[in-house]
Amino acid sequence: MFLKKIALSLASVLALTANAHAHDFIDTAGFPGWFNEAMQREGSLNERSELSLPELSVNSEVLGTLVLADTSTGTWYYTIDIGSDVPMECWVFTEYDGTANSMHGISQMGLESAETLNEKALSGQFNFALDVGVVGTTAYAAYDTLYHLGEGDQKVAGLMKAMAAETNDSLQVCLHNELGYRETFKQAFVAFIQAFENAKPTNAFYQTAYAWRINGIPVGFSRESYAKDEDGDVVIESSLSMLVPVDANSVARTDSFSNSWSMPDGALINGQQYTIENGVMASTYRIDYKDEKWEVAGKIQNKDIAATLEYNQWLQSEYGNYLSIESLRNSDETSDTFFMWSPDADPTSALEVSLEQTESNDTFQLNMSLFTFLFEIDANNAPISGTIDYGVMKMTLDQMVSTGTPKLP
Amino acid sequence: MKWLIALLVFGYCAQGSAQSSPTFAQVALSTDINVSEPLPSRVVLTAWSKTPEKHAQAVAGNSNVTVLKRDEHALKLALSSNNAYHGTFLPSQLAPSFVIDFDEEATKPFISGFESSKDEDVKAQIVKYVSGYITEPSYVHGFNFASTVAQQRSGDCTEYAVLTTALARSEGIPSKLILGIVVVQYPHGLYAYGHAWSEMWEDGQWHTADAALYNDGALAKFYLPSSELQNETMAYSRLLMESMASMPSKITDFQRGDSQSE
Repeated sequence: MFLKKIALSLASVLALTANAHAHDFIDTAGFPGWFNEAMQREGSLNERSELSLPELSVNSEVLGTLVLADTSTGTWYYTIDIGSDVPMECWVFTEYDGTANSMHGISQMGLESAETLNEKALSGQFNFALDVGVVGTTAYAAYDTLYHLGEGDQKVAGLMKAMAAETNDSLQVCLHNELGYRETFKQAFVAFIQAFENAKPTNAFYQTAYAWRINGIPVGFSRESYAKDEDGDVVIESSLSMLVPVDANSVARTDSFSNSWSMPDGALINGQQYTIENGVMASTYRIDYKDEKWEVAGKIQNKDIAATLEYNQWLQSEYGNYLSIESLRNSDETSDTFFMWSPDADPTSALEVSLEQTESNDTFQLNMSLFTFLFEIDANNAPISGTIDYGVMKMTLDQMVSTGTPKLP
Repeated sequence: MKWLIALLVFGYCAQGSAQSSPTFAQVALSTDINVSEPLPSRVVLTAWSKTPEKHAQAVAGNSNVTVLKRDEHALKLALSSNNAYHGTFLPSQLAPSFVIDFDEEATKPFISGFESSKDEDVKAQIVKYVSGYITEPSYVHGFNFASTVAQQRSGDCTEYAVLTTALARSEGIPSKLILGIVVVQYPHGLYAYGHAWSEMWEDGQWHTADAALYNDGALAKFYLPSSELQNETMAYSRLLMESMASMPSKITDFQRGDSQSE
């Protein structure tokens, strides 16, 4: 009876997650037999534990035997026995850089701990796998590192597996430093995130998350959330987390966060955005409409910027994009042109964008001077998948989850 | 859809001292020639891009690049390994800018650390100095300003090129940052990479200055520009993205351009 209950709970965990397969960078076929045997190991998640974290309204069961090992202001550190020699470790932070930067930082810290524990210096590290997916409505990223400690006859190999997700106002990062146990670690991570997902309140009328891939490699995810504020306007929160494998040994880390407000008709009211790259605040921007002008302020690489846009008319918000798609879909018109503020391209001017309906009612392209984004939409007028051909890179976006509809209730 | 624009510039770059090849900067190259044999000083290739007409405009005036044929998808080009061509410079190519900010306090220790000798070509000394100044070659950076690179001492080809351009200008040498592709012959093979480098002007000629591939053991290098960083203001990122979008996506029919093949 007990075993059946566990089996059902695992099935429910798997049903709540969605992702493509992880991208493995290293073919281990030529590795020694003992390595591949170790990589096949999995644990049995027969135990369940209570996770109670009143500060974040979390009170739920997780898979494995969980112990709160340490805590300090805004940080909780747990170990979870998942049936392997080394327990899984999970951190919960209320202050953090972002999914990509923080997960990479914790993973590197794990490698330093391995050096100390084994009394051997890190002699090599390689990107082993990257993955993105969702637990319920929460997007997660995964990054596995194959590493060597020591030299010559004393050289040893290890696999540092890392997964991270941001739920509500906290970040969860989990590590497991042992060869194999990939599926077990993932299942335990998913259950851990579900505990926070269950406690996540939302007043958003629409939420969505996209997986980003470059040349087929999952490099990150973006998230959008739309809610109605007390004035009847739309509050938009969006973020982007990316881990781009720039060579065999390293990943470039980017976390961007944006808050903006939109009128119900899709006109931008104001907005702000910041980006952390490789652990460093790379840029902060803010745009406001004052005295009939769009004023921009912020910093790029620690240098102050301040500008007044030459364009002082209607700027379209992200919410407005959905309205444009809906409008084209329900009319005889096949194209729409508008201006947007895209500080990543140019914080000092408005970018002209055209939206065109192509062959079918469900296929559109967004044309900017920089590139064309070709995408298909769902019944909610939201892109479900899209592509950008960009020099040697082909970028694809695939919707992983959406809840609600992108229209003010 | 907001983050569509946040595309990154990881299509650049090659660098000689990196531990491994860049994941997204390598450009597919096909050839029938024996790549282990020495290459002549002139080669012929076909560069495929979405905007070949724009690419043709970008190489106009550079006598090391000759457009032999063009169609709507590709340019057939002859490239010379002679890394100098006649041209003029603009006053802005001597001045500090938002990106090439050699006037910033943070850049000054880097600038003042350079001591040129009259016994050697100053351009070569600048390349050597920048190559040694960056102590942590890394592909993780997007595109950093001179002041940032000078402090972090880390970067890939764009950071090397930014710093080279900044130092040249501070020495009174007109300089500009070029984006494009480099075809490199190493003892182990022939490769094409998205790349950035600097050009310095002297005696009526622009000279290639590539600190990222300094002393990299290459047998031959051919530089194919696709654009110049003409906008060094706060809007630099837009130009980088445009450049990336118009960069050739593959090189085919790479051939010897000497009499042996003609």
